[in-house]
Amino acid sequence: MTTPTNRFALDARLTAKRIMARINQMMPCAAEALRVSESTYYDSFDWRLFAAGKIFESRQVKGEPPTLHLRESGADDDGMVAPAAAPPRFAPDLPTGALRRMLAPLLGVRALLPVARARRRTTPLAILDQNKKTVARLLIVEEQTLSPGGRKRGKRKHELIVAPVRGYPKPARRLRTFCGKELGLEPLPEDPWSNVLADCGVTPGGYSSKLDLRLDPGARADSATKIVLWRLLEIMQANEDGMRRDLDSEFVHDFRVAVRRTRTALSQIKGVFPVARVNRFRAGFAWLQQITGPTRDMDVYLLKYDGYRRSIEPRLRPALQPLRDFIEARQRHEQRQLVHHLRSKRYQRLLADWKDFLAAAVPERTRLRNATRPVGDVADERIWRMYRRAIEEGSAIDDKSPPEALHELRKTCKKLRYLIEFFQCLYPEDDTAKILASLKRLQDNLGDFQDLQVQTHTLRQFSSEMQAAGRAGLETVVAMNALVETLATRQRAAQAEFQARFDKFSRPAVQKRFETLFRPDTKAAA
Amino acid sequence: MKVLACYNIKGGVGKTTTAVNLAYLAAQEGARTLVWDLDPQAAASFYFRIEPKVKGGGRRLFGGKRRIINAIKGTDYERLDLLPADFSFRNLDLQLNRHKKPLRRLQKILKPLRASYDYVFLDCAPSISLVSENVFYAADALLVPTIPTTLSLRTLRQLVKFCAKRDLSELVLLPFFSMVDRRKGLHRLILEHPPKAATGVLGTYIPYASDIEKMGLRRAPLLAHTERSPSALAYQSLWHEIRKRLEGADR
Ligand SMILES: Nc1ncnc2c1ncn2[C@@H]1O[C@H](COP(=O)(O)OP(=O)(O)OP(=O)(O)O)[C@@H](O)[C@H]1O
Ligand SMILES: [Mg+2]
Repeated sequence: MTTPTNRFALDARLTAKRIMARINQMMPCAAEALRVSESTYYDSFDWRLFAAGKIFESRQVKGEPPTLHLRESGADDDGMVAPAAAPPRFAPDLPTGALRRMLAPLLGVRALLPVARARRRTTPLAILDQNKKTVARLLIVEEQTLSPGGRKRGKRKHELIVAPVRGYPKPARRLRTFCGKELGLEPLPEDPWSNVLADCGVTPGGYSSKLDLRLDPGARADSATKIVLWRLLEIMQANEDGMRRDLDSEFVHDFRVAVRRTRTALSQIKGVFPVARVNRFRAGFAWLQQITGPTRDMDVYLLKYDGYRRSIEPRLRPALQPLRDFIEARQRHEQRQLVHHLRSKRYQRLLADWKDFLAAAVPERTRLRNATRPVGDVADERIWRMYRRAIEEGSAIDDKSPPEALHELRKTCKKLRYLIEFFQCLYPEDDTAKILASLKRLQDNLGDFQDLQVQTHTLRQFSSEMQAAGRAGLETVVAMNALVETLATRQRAAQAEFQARFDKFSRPAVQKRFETLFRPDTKAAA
Repeated sequence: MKVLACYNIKGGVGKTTTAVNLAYLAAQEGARTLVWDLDPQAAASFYFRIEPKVKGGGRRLFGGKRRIINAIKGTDYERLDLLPADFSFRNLDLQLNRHKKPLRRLQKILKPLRASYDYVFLDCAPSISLVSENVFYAADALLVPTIPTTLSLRTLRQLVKFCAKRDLSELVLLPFFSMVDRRKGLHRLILEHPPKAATGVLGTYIPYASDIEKMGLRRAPLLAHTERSPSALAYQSLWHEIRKRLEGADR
């Protein structure tokens, strides 16, 4: 059974008075006070709330305190409510309570961004029973969509909404028939935001950092690679503005992942594009990686700061604050540098050239070794080779290996992951999911090991810089030393765990899976 | 979800009036609020103009056959709902006794409401019975309106003792003075020189006032019509104090 709609498009000529007169013939009703309200819809850039089936808005009803509302999409109640005007940018800064408990894990580190606004004037007609109890309401609504900045978008709309009162289904049913059959009004989408979002030209769920590609295994490898690269370019472009404005740390992060993936595609999908051009772009993207790095590093330290603080003894914790101030200042500085780079000719030209290159048709004839081969074959080959390399490098590692060996393996695993992700759609979904999951467990360990090493190193450096600048007293130095000590301990733990993780990854069952999926000669035989 | 029960062994002390007005205030502040009218006399249902009827009666409600959320009615006020009384509630003790853990039955059937409400106010009938023991286990706090007389304070002491004997250490007792008439010498005396039996009584008291009495004519919470009268202000500050105490108890 589909739930019947409660919302109807209203002809502007049908005034409240006339509607009330008609209803009064069926059942007693009374007009309630006019409500003037303005609501703003919020979500993260990557639509985390929408993906979780949630709708989050701030609402200001004239004459009432401002509120925030979080509800299930499709629910006709108000959901959870918190008292606040505009929501803060980040979930941890919301007022404590159920709403924050629900929202914070969904949003993670992402900022709440205004998506669209609506201004409404609502005249409620209360339908009354013999005790003069309200058993349903009919809302006459005049609605204007606004951009997040407050500009008018789309036409003013008139709506008639049936608002049931819990436990009284009959009068609501009667009102629906009245609106649909007797007044002959057009039903509207059930969610009050869907028209508003459409007026603002946004599609919920419109951005994701997932590749989500569809490739034809028989397609030429060069065109298929261009499709992958084009998608990565889209991700970079989508994140550019948020990165520039430093809305939250994920913009730089997603941008950088797209850059790194682009570099992997350029270096690892060999023989599909002319070497000279590839090399020029490789240099360009290496530069992009480099100019976005320092901001990302500082973002990471800021994200980790609370964990750092908790990892040391309570009595040392207050003394860590100068470190936070130091990182914040450094982050602001690096962010300014980044913005400067993004404004540069070099950056503009790189992206423009890259776009031209990707948009250009592939040559009909070419001497390039892999360009015209089916992408499925090339993918098999490249993935299988990268897997072999990971196994070789990993097997050579023992207790005496230098940290560099683990770093190398980490890079190889990253490339392997990216290659699998580029071509994921060419293989059965279940198989790649399993393979990526086992790869991830190894990667997590390698990532921890390296990150912790870099962090201990960097924090030591920060400590001496801070001392030199007179920004760290003795207590701060002690607190930071204690922090470095905990990180070093964790790094040793990660190293100790490596062997077990690698053994799991290199076990025959996983190898078998890789072979059947990717190994070219096995597949040819089958 | 916090469950607050308006309870007193004695009748006519202001339990229902308190439940209705505090629930209204909670909802006004943005909390999703439910009043459960457990009294077969159905005064709370009356104030909200809602028929005191539950399909299948107490037997189905407490038997777990009917999901209690389906018996809930919306009031005229935003975020404020009511679970109406039913005449069959006069036999609730019998209904409860049919079940395996008769003392925890109410607590159990309230559980599914946790995701839907921030506050549940239980409006209890006077007396001490199996129903009231259920209330003690289900509630986070007992709001105990108490008229400032020697006899009422004795009843309060009995309640405190009763709770101490049972395993009810988690239950927060929040007695407050109700229907305070400052023209009466005894009321004044007890207010100004609280005896030992009055330890733990909240700082706010509800005065005896004709606008509270008239709620029965209006059939609506007092606060829905007056926000500024002395009695309205008293309910606001009582609610404020109760919330503070509950937050304190959480820590
Ligand atoms: N502060 C007050 N001032 C004046 N009248 C009051 C006050 N509080 C309650 N009343 C009136 O006293 C009567 C009893 O109040 P109420 O119904 O709230 O008490 P109760 O404890 O719920 O009673 P019962 O035990 O019968 O359920 C009602 O008529 C009510 O209007
Ligand atoms: Mg009562």
